Amino acid sequence: MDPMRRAPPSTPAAAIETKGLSKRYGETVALDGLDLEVPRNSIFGFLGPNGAGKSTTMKLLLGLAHPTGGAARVFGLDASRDSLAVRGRVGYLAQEPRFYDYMTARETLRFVLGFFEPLGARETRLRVDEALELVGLARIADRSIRGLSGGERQRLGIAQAWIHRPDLLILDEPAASLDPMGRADVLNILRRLRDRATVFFSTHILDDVQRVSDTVAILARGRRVAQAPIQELLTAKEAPTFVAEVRDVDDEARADIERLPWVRSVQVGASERGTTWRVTVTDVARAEADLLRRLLQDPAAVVVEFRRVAFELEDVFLDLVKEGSDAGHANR
Amino acid sequence: MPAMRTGDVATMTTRPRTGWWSGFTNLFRKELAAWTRTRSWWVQPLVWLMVLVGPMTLPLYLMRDLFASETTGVFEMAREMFFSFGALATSIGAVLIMHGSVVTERQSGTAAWVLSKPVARSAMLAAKLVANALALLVAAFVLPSVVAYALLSLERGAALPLAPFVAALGLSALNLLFYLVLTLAFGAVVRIRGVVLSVPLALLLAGDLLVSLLARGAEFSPLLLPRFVPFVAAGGALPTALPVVATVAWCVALMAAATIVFGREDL
Repeated sequence: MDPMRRAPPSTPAAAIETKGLSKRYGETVALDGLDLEVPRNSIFGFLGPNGAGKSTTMKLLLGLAHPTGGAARVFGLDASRDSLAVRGRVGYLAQEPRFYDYMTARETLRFVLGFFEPLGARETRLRVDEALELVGLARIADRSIRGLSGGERQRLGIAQAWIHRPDLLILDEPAASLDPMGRADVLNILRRLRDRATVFFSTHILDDVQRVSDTVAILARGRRVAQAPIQELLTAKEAPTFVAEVRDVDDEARADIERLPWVRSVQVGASERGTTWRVTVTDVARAEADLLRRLLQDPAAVVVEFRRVAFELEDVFLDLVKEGSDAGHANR
Repeated sequence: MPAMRTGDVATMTTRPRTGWWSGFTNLFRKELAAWTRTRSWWVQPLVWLMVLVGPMTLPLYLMRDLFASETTGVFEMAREMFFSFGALATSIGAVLIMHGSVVTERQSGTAAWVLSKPVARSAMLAAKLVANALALLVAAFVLPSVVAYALLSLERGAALPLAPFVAALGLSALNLLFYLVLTLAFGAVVRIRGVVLSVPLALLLAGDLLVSLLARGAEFSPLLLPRFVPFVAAGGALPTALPVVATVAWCVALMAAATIVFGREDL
């Protein structure tokens, strides 16, 4: 029996669960057997280069596109069969949000709210005002959408996705067309929504993901190449490494450090200010406590800089995407 | 904004109803608002008044002498003009108004946006049909028909019999409904605006030719309706009810096909 066809659990742990989810457009494979699990009440970053299948996945979850293989569940509901019920619990922001230009922002939010249970005039007004306030559009709420900038439309997109208080927000590139201030605002909004809903968002801006996400999944050529809590992903890729820029340290000091049981290797290279040592360790705590002290044992030594190398999500992302693409090519 | 606990989400989230009609009411209001909240609510009736009643004034007032020489007389000529030309003009209007309805929304991305809400695709099509049919019937039939009835009654010197007049209007409305459905269905199935516009118009304009080609088969199509309209308006009995039944069946079949195809489409 298809594991995804079983009766939905009463309180499924995952907000989103896909098994072998696939989508082909003719000969083109947009999504190739995607397995994904998005924990409830997490901020889940969905990464991948252009054409990796991120938007396709989101459309499949919402029933806007139909899978050619596999299955997806949202809160235990089958995304294809129970699509209307799924959409009742989801707020969606498309990559390029489109609205009826003749409506105002306020009218748009009222229109969207109209698809859900009637709330009464007072509650509707409160909800709309609250959503406008959340995204900072209260001042221009009664301006026609035709006159809104790209950033304002994006904010309206977030407001309309949130207006009915969904259990899950699916946001496709929510900060894509925003300036740095707008991006910061969007990230703050996502943080504020953390306790109220699950946020599943895609982006190209890796810094944003690193700042707000709990968990990330990386997609390449329609396949998932990684899914893990962000800290795990950042630390799992490489062994912990410390960099020291030093002057007047002799070879004996280097040999002493290499003999330490928690040091894996020491690479030395020339730098403008002296020599750069890259010390790879197996025990971060001991290295943090002892390594600098060991370097300074030589009274003649001058340590210009000492830091732990922090791997950026970008490094991890590029490595994983390359590996994923290579594997994809090998399989085809 | 007051802080809210995770557990509150379930109680605060609004839940939609689900079914093939899900989202219909909201979309119907939106579609109707495109008529009632714009200049259309007064421009359209005035335009239709000029288009449908304007030609009647030729035999009745402006070129009375010319038409008086005709064997049918000015009253019959005016009535014929109103109903024959009316059936054709309102159908063309239906095609023009409806042809961009789905195509535009699909191309602009608003269809995908609306359908990301708990909205059934069938409800989206139904809302467009019902709202536009209602608006067009009011704009193109109510005011022009009242004025035409008054002018014809004045010419006749007595009130026209209401039943044939209303029956002819009913047939004309059914004809209009068919072209609305046909255009909507094409729009739901085909992505090219030109095709959506040209196929129903071609069917409309080549109606007489097709009737000749199809012979008895034309009775199973809506193509005979425009011929029946002036005949019924003149007090004649409907020669056969088959085209009426067939038109209703075609409307249902086209809507069903459009709903199925549109329902399978990736947006």
